[in-house]
Amino acid sequence: METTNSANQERQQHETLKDDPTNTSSGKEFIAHSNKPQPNGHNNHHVHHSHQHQQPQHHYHKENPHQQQQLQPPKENPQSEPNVHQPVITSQMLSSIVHNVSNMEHIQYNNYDIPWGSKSVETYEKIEQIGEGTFGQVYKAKHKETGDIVALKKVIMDNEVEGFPITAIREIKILKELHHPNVIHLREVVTSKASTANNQKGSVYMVFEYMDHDLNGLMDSPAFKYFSPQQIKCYLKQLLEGLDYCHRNNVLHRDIKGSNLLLNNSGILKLADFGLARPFNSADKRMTNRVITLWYRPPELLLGGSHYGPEIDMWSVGCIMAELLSKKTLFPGRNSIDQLDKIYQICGSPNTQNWTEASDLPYWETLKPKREYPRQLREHYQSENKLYFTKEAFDLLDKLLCMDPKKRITASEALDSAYFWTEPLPCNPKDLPQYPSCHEYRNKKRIRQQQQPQQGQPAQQQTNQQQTQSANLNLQQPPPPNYQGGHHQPNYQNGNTNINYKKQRTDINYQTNQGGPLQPPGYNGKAPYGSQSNPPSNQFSNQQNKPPANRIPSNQPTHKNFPQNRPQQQPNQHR
Amino acid sequence: MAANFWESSHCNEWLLDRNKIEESNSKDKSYLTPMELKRLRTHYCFVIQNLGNALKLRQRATSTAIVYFKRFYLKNSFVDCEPRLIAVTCLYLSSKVEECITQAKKCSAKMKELDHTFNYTMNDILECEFFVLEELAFCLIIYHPYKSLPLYLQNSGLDMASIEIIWGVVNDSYRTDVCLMYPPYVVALGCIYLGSYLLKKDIKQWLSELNVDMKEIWEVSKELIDCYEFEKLSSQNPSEPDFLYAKLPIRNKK
Repeated sequence: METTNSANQERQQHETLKDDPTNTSSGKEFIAHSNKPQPNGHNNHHVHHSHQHQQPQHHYHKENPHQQQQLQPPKENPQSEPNVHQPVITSQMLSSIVHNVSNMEHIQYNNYDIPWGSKSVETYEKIEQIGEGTFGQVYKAKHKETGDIVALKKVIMDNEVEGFPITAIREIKILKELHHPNVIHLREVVTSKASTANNQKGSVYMVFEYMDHDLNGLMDSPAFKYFSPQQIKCYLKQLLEGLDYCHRNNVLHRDIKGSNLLLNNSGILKLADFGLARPFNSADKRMTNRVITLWYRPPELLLGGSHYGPEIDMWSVGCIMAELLSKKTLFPGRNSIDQLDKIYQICGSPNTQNWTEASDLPYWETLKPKREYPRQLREHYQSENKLYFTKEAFDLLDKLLCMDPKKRITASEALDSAYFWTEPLPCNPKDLPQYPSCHEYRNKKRIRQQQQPQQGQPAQQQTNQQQTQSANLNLQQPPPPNYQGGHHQPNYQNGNTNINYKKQRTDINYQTNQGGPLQPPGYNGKAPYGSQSNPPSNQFSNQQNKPPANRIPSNQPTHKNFPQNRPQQQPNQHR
Repeated sequence: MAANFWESSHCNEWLLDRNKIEESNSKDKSYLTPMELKRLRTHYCFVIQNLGNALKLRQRATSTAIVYFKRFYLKNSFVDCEPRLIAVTCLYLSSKVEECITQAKKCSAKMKELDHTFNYTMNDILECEFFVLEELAFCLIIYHPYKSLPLYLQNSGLDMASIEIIWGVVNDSYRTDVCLMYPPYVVALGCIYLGSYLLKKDIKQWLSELNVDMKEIWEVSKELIDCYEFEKLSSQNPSEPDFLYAKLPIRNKK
């Protein structure tokens, strides 16, 4: 106690000193109120401290603060005799000193080095892993005091040469500023202390509100067949509202895809994963061309364009819309060449009439259409359910999937389109059905667990950390109740399905990863929904042929966070 | 970034009053007089500016770094956290945030060229980045007066050629605490006011028609004048910062 008291006294004295107008410029404000001299014990303090404090080396003239509206240019020679000021303490100064002293108690004094981890992740209790972001694992967690359920997104720091990853910086800086019902809310950023378990490196977690599903997870679940036209409109409308907000605030999302659209059981859709997002303004020069997951990537990026704007997100919205309406991926390209080809076949080949600037794009000469295709978006969906593919829906889809980015519809125009204002109107989010929680990641994980015995290679050579992690997950994460129904469970244990599945995956993904030079980080590839010849009207029978919802080939080594999938030499790489 | 200032963390959490700013560098006050502290704080603004120029970073990144530096020392002190290291780290971080990324290695090398006693390495900067991020509460977007300057100049009838002078005044404003206290548009207007005075142009009429608090604008220009005067005086003693730095018992000095 004594020490603190004396420390307080000392601070008080410093404050007194600090407010001494002979010493500081800040004193001048107080003179502004009154010039009454009140030499109140000031000298005592001064003397008392003279052994500690050097007299300020510079005094300078203080302007008369009363001439408020007239500016004085900097004085040539401030004051020839700087020491003429009398010590002046006014009543205002006294009260201000008292105020400052009482304030002092609120100042945090660090008696040791900076308290790293002051906002600790310890305030949350991890429940289970629910996903993989562009740059980190995502956990469901509970606040220990309030009981709030949140999602914790860990920032992966391994292999980072340039410190805190730029993607995390972008995501944090952007999400700190965006506040919209359809944009994921970043509650706070917390840290964990360095320990031997994490290689003496503290980690950083972003704390988000918890969302029950992601769109891909939901579409892969049996519940998907219940998506009604109203429901699709409701989701699309929210997607566009969130995106419109981002675009109005000059933020490009640059990775719109199903697994980045989160849904909760109140029917609210939120844009998430801003790891590739960045601010833009029209004056901006080149931006990186390697953005957006391949299947949702617009033709101008595939052709190498690096001057772009909000239009690129709108193309992805078009792909999502087509996917929601038809339950099939519109352009499931294997690599960027195949992707462009698929686009040409459906959206027609670009030419100088319908897209004047196409020929200026870097890869135009090499990747331009080999032959002329007519635009046959409508024909492509001719056999589809007319309840979903109404005239208004086609009109909007046509404008979203416009080849020329300049002519592509904007988010706010899309919100005004007839699609959202004709029957059936978008339903109220609150009226949407509730689903058991499903995330794409969990679907993947379920498959992995079932595949593991067949692979015959238990993950024994992995690091301890990984083992405990996967063990925990196994314990904590039983498959959701509805997956235990007998409909499709047996399929996954059927060896044939798996072999078939692996083959398909190899076809789809390996070429993507090798051939496509433009993979954004975290791109997983994605299994198509059923084969094209099988209309997905009957979900359950369709799933017999459908590759499991797992979007990770079991032997693909690119995903370091799936311990079971790692090739055995991995532990060496992992420090 | 061009998101909405009025909803930003800058506007809602980081516009501080003078009392709050007086709490900066609390522990250093036992070793330095307020005047000396001010001198040292101004000095590090110059350090960041020079390093930013040497690394050819955009002025915007440099200005952001200075704001980070000032925000960092609101709760910390030079004696605990080596100011030169924090200065370099702030600049490194701001280069990332302002999308003109540089390398940590380059930062430490350039800093060593400018200041031969600087012995921190790239790894120190990378480690320090965490502390800075946390102390900034991860609020990274800083709004600057630059963007609104051309608009205001055009509107006020000042000639566009005067932008150079006023731009310079805005740059200088980062050595004061106005960037912590006032929203950027007020800083911009304060700088224009001062600039118009230097250019001997009368824009009082225009200012009075704006729906802004003239007192704030006047305070900004007053802070600036104080700063210019202060620097004029302190320029007589260029080695003072080194002397003051040596006087501080800084921990973990390298």
